[in-house]
Amino acid sequence: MKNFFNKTGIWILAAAVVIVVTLSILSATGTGIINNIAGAIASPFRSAGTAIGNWFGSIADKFDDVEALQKENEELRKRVAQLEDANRQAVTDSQENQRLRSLLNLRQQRRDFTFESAKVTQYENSNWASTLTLNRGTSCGVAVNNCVVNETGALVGVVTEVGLNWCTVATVLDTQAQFGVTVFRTGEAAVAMGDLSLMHQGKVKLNYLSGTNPPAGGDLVLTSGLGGYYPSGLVIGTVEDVRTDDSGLTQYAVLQPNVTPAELVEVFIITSFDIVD
Amino acid sequence: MQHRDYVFKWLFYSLTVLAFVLLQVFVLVHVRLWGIHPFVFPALVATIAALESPHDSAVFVLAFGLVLDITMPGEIPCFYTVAFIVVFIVSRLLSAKVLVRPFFCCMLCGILSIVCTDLLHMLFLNAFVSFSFRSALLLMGKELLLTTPLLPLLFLPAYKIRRIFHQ
Repeated sequence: MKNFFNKTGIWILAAAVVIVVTLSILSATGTGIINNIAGAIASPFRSAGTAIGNWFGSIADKFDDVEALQKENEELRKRVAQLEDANRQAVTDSQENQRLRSLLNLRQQRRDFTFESAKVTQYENSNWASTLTLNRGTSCGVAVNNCVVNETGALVGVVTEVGLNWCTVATVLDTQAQFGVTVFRTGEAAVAMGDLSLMHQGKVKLNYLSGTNPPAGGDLVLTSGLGGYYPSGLVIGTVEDVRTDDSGLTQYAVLQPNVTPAELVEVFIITSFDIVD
Repeated sequence: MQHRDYVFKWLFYSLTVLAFVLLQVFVLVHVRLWGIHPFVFPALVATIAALESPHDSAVFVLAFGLVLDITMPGEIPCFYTVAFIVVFIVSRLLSAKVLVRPFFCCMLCGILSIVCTDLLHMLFLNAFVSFSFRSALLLMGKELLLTTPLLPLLFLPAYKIRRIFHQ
């Protein structure tokens, strides 16, 4: 080993330093050109590999317990009936709201989203982050900070890096993800953020609660859209529990997100939005 | 060793590494226990660094780290390159000075490689977000528990290649 450091080892370590510095400089200005090219080349292979993996997964799904599926189907039928009832009431309320708005000369509410569908081509390899790689990039109008939702409109995460035909999404579970949110029932503003201890339980931390009107278990949490950075009204999840932190001074809530990143196959990137509330 | 044998040896090593990369990316990420999956990349580097000569394995470690950093970009642009250099130094010191028997050496190097990589993860993560050190250590422990049983699986093909070409 000593001999190694005396001879060619010095050159190898110098090469390591050059690599580290080069990668750091290239990535300092957004997605580095080398990363972009490598990602563009690797994207079709990632897609192919994930497609094969999903095919094997779908075979395994066919062996699911029939009794459990029948039970789930029965529960879902009841839930559909409840939602249909609520929907009928909502349609009447919506019509009334429109009439009142036109009477008061208020602007009509609208929510216009431009979606770009994408397939998940890679899941995070390390246990220290929760990210997904998608097969859409700048060629489809995807940009950094675009929100990503699943087929039910629940928030999956936000685009953090983008290349020609790929992008990386930090999911709501990731430690670096932060979203301004409101609790639907109380209207209280808070910040939903990933937490290392909750990430592997598939949960999110709800911080900066005011304390005057704390959320309760089952409360729906939506993005607030404050600042116009992210669209408002995207469902993040439901409050599972309200806890006091280690200092005993502040409370935080634990959210159960509506998405499970490891099970996602197809998602939708919101490339632009226009919301009038 | 003839030049042709040398090329073939590293070709076999590369294919073995590729097989384990595919295993990690497409299979192991879905094998979750306590919400954690095994992570074999550092142990793979440690195994080859412990078995091969310092110069050859240093080039391999640099190349593998560079490829991972380019194809799997993260928040830290050169994380794998840095982590694998640390793993390489630890593995070389152990294999040269402490343990002579390849199997036990590779097992210990594999375990230490996961510890080193996770400590670096904590160090870099600390620069961006605040987190509980206890939960980070818990995560490291779980990752170790899940990855350690796979270490002989990493050792066997690498040792086989080494034996074939060094006889």
